[in-house]
Amino acid sequence: MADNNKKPLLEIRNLKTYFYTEDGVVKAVDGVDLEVYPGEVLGLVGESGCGKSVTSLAIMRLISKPGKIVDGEIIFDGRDLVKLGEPELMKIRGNRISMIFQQPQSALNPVFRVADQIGEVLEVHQSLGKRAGDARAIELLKLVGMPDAESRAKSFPHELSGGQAQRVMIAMGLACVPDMLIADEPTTALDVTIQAQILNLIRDMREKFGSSVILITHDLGVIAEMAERVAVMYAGEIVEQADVIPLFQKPIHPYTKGLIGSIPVLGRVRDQLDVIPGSVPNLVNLPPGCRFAPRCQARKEYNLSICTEKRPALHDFEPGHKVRCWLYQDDEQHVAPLKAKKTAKEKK
Amino acid sequence: MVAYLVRRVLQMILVVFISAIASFALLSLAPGGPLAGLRQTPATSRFYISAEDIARIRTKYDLDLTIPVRFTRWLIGVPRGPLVINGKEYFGDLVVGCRQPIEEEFLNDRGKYETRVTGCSEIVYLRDLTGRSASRGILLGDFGVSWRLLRDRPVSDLIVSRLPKTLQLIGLETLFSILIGVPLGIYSAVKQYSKFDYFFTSLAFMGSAMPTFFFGILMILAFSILPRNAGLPYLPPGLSESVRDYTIPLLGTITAGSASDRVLHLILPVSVLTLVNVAFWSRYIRSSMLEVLRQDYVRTARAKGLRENVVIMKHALRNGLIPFVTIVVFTLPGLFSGAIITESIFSWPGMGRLYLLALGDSDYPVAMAVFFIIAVLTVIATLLRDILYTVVDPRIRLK
Repeated sequence: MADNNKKPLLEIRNLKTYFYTEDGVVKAVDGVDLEVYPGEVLGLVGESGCGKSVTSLAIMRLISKPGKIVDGEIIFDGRDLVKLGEPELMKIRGNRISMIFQQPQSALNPVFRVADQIGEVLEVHQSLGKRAGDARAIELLKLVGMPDAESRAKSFPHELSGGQAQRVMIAMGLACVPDMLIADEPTTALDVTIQAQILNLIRDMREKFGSSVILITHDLGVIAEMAERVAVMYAGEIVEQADVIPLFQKPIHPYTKGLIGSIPVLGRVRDQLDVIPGSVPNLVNLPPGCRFAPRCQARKEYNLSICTEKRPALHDFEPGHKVRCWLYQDDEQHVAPLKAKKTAKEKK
Repeated sequence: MVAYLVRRVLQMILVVFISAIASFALLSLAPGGPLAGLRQTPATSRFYISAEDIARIRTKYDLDLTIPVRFTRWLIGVPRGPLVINGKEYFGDLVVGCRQPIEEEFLNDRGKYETRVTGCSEIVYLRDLTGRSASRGILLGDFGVSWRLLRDRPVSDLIVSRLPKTLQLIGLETLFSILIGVPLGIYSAVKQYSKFDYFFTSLAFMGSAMPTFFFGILMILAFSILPRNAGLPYLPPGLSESVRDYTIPLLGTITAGSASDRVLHLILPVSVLTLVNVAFWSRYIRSSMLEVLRQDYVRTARAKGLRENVVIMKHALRNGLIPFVTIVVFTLPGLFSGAIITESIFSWPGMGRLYLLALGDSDYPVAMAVFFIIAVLTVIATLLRDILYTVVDPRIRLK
């Protein structure tokens, strides 16, 4: 469990990132609040298109047209990245915050050798020469467990396997010992056996370098394995945020419950997996109230009308466990049914 | 790699051979030809050319021989007579052509008269070729003699006199259009959808849509005729150098054939070609860069904290230039063949005009020489492109 007395390394407040497309304004990230503490692994989980990757690119300030950060703050080490100019950002990117991507082979430049691509980061941030950069690149490749590092350093990306390419990306990301590593679906494109190796590597490297990790994935298994804290995203907002064990044992948001319920459990025979009915809302035309309301079974069960009228806020359900749901939150017109139940239980 | 090259060179020889056969056959079978005009003169005319005269001309230019025989004589300079082994002649009686064909006029289906060859009054046998002059063959670098443009002078003389002019024109034009077009294309791609991009892409579109024969004449009007009539400084409208000295306001007297005279003559044709090709190159580079800028590795480069300049000029451009390099080698045949239309507009004495004149005048040896050299240069450019591919793109290996 994260030590809440510690100062967060990264604090995102009300981040809004919109894409101005011909079809309308896509609200890819719409009011995300998140903090990352030094040395922790934060899992950011959600379906495809829920804004996980956009959040991470916003942290790197790599949102390009037609996207734009329209509101919010990203406080990293006391400075608001949203307000920083390009020269300061360049000193942070790849140096203090680095990122690894989903498709390692297409994330590496096909025409440059591996060592040159790793060495480049060191040349830029540590003013290392070409020679020293190459030597350090080989060291890093050994560190990330690249077999036959010396000769691999001279390879071109197309000569590497997916797992090897991801090791190169990790070596590149860690070259400057960053405070934070953002891993955007680092294992999605890899074979299952390689996935485990890469996840282990990320965990080892976190211990060795002490960097915080934001692990973005849609795979709850990866989250359970790796993360200390989890934020669940849905349609551009965080719907639940908690330490990993409470989240899996006692998910409270109906969406999180649905996600966890949809995981097949070994040894348990079910005719069919639980699914969340409906589909992700269109990010151009979002429902007025809670974004999950149209798919929410609990809302129907408790017959809440407020869910489709007013957007709930992210609030503390318990210390360290936040949720964005009317079932647990009072409003002027209604008393949250499950909160009422819970307090009643506690009174007894 | 060596095995690959050997295989490729063999293929190239085959391709050149086939293209030589095809162009030779097409040219020979085309209606008209160098003798067409000679038959038109009436018998009463002072310039009447008798059937015997025509037969003599046919013999002189090998036109009495059958196409395959003509082709081999043109290509490798054989046969030059019967096969002689140990002083004994072989195949001397082989029919290789007809000196005087018998022609008759028929009324065809459409009610028109048509000449058809019905027989031969004087057959040419292989032994008749003995002593007849022949080129050593184009493969040995002998392009034969010109029939009309420089009568009875070697075709190579014509080419040597024309080629430097075309090299100047096309060389400068290619250099300028790449030096201007490539940076414009990159900038336009980086600033996609900006005002500059919109302005520039519309301009480039117009540039590539504008035919040089129209644009060239417009330029002659705007920079030569109109200013000269108005007494302003002007540019010479045509030719590669002037025949006599001339005076341009502000510049003074230009000596014919001097360096400044030649530079002045180059400006207009080079500008017209450059403008059109800047449009081509910039559009090409722009689309290639747009494709590359979308790639994941460009995002990775940015995420490493590289300056935007480095991201564009190193990571993106290095990939964006891969297709460019392979297309640039195809300017090689163009350096030789010239620009037919632009050279004609500006009366530029280059290869393009030579080619056009040769075709118009039925000077087949000249036309065939140009054909052949272009074919050779094109296959060389193709090989060069494939080799360059492996240099610029490490993913490609020749096998």
